[in-house]
Amino acid sequence: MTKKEEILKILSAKLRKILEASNLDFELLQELRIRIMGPFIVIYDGEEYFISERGGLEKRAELAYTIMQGDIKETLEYISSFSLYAYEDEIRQGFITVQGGHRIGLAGKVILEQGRVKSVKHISFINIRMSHEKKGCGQNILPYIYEDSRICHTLIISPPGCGKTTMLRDIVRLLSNGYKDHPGVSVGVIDERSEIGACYMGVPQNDIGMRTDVLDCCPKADGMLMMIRSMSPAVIAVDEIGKREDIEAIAYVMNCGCQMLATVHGASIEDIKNKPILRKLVEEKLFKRFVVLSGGKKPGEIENIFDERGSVLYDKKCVFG
Amino acid sequence: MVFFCKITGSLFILGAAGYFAYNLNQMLEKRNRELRKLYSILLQLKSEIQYMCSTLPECFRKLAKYEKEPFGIWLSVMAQRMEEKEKVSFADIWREELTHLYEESALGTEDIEPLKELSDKLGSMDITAQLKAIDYALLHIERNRSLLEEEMKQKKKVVVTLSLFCGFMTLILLL
Repeated sequence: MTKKEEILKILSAKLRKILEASNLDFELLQELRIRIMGPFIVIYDGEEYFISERGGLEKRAELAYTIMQGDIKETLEYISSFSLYAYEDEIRQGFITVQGGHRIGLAGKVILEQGRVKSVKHISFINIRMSHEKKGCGQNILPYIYEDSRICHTLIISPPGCGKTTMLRDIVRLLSNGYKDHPGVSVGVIDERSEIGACYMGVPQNDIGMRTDVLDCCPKADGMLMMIRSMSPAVIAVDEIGKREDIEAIAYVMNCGCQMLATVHGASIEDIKNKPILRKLVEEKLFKRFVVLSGGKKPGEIENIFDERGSVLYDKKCVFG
Repeated sequence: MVFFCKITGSLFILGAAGYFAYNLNQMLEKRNRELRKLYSILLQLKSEIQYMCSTLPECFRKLAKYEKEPFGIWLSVMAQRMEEKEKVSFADIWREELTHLYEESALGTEDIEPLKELSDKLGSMDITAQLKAIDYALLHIERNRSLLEEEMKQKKKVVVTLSLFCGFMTLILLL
């Protein structure tokens, strides 16, 4: 199934018709924003556009098609395969991952139980983020990840939507298949949100390499320990760490002789240092490489690469003058 | 010759009356069998939702593999239409396919009615409400089946007696 089919299949009949009429290149499509009684918005090739009822890309909101309640209801039915109950845990976290690894963010009225999020009802806001498999985008980072043919613990830092997961996926693929003189190693992926491998019925939809094992929809902290015990990987990859238990599991993995490959939200190393839970990662020099991605319009662009002492190994400004 | 024709005709009439009685009994038996099957399908659906958290198309596809007609077709068409995601809501698909099931099976309207009520519940976010709705449908089906089994004992005798009586009456009238 092509990316276009994957996306059209989860949209309501009306939105499907509009997108079909728009003749968009789905490889350049980044996001679809669906808000009740709001304009239909797309993020296309780094720019925000409003889509008119006839499928035209407009810069003025008043020309856009207004999303109706029926569009949201129908879209939700398709996203969840008519089975919202099956995605209860995902909805509690605020998103569902669909076939192809596309992430569907959901927002509405939150239901609390003893102060914790139990569920979300009256879902009125949907954000569809396209998964982009960009083979080769990790090649520029790999020479910095290897140190004397040994893989270093690496943390990729970037703001949301700047290509962390895409970058991580490609690095996993390259490490797993082998890169230049470096032989391939077994990689264990803890894919909590099904975004890295985008497994559908157990089969990874993305190319994540021939020596990669995936624990799909598994909480990161539990998954890392399970993976070590069961699959003895040389490298463990996780996306978007942030909880205290994630950090504890990472420390455990590193002490087991496994190499760690992780991503985290942030704009710089300073951002990470300012977060109480994540500060330990930098201060205790758990990671040997910090890759900071640019927050600009070009996803996957490397801003800096640092080592554990904070020495700059790569700087975009120096490279481009 | 006339006597022979009368005897042959009488035998035909008696045979037809017997066959009619047999057919009616078979229909009752078939409805009973289908109610049992429907009960087991709903139980399996409930456990798939409760323990496996499978989506409805997955549940229907899985159940369809093990079911014979008319339920096999009903379940696989449900799964197929839901996977196609072609401009319909679950409630519409469910109601339409229940109508087809009613036409293809020996089930009565009173057996289909509790299933129709599931159209608003199945697939919703609240898993507890869904399971309770399935339990409610199961209760109705089980009650219908108990009633049918009680009625069957009487109905079978009545049908056979009435059919044969009608046959004999026709014979007497004709002879």
